[in-house]
Amino acid sequence: MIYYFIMVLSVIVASFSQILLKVGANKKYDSIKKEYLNRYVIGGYFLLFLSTLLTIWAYTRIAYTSGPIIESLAYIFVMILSFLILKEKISWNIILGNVIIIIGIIVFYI
Amino acid sequence: MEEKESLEYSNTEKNRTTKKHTWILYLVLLISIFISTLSGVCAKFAASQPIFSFKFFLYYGLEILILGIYAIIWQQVIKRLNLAIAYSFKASALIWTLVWGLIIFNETINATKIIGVAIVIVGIIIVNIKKK
Repeated sequence: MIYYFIMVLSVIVASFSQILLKVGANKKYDSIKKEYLNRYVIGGYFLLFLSTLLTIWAYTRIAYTSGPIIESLAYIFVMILSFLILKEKISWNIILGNVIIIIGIIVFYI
Repeated sequence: MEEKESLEYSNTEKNRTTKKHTWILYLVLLISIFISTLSGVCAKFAASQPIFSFKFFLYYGLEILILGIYAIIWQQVIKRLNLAIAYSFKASALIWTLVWGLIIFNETINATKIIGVAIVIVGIIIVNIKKK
C-alpha cells in the first residue's frame, strides 16, 4: 500500500515540475540560452528526475499495469495546480476533457 | 522548421499564453509528443540489451537525446499555451503506445485498447473546445 502512495507522490512531484517549467516559460529572457538555463527550468527537470527515482522505487512492488493508471492522475494535479498557482482559467470543458482522458487511459490499461 | 516559425510568431505576439494559437503550434506539440514516445521505444530496446554493452549505451544515449529534444520543444510550447491545455495533449502518447506495440513489439491489440485510445482522443478534443 505504501508503494502506491510513493507512486502518487511521484506523480505530484512530476506535476510540480510542470508548474515550475511553466513559471519559467512565462518569464521574459534576453537570450534563447537563458530560456533554458534558469533556475525554474533546471529546478523543474531536477524535480522530474526526482520523480523518476520515486517511480522506480514504487515499481519494485506495484503491478506494472497499475503504474500508467496512477500516473494519469497527473492530468488532474496539473490542472488543479495550474488553477491555484498559475491562475490559469480552468473552464468546464477542460475539467470534463481531462476526466475523459483518465477514463480512456484506465480502459486502455485494464 | 515548424519550431522556427512559431518562434517568430511569439516575437510578434504580445500576449503569449492566450487565445490566438496557430495550427502550427498544435502540430509542433503533437510532433513533440510523438518524438517523446520514441524515447520509450529506445528504453525498451536498451533494456533488452546486455547491460553496459555497446548497444545498451547506444539505445540509452538515444533515449536521453530524444528526451532532450523533447524538453527543448516543450518549453517553447508551454510558453505559448496554457499548461493545463498543453499537458492534456500528452495523452496522445497513448496512440503511439498502441502503434509501437503493434509494429515494433508485436503486441496484441484488443478492442479495449482501441476504445481506450478513442476515449482519450475525445477527451483531448473536449479540452480544446473554444468558447466564442
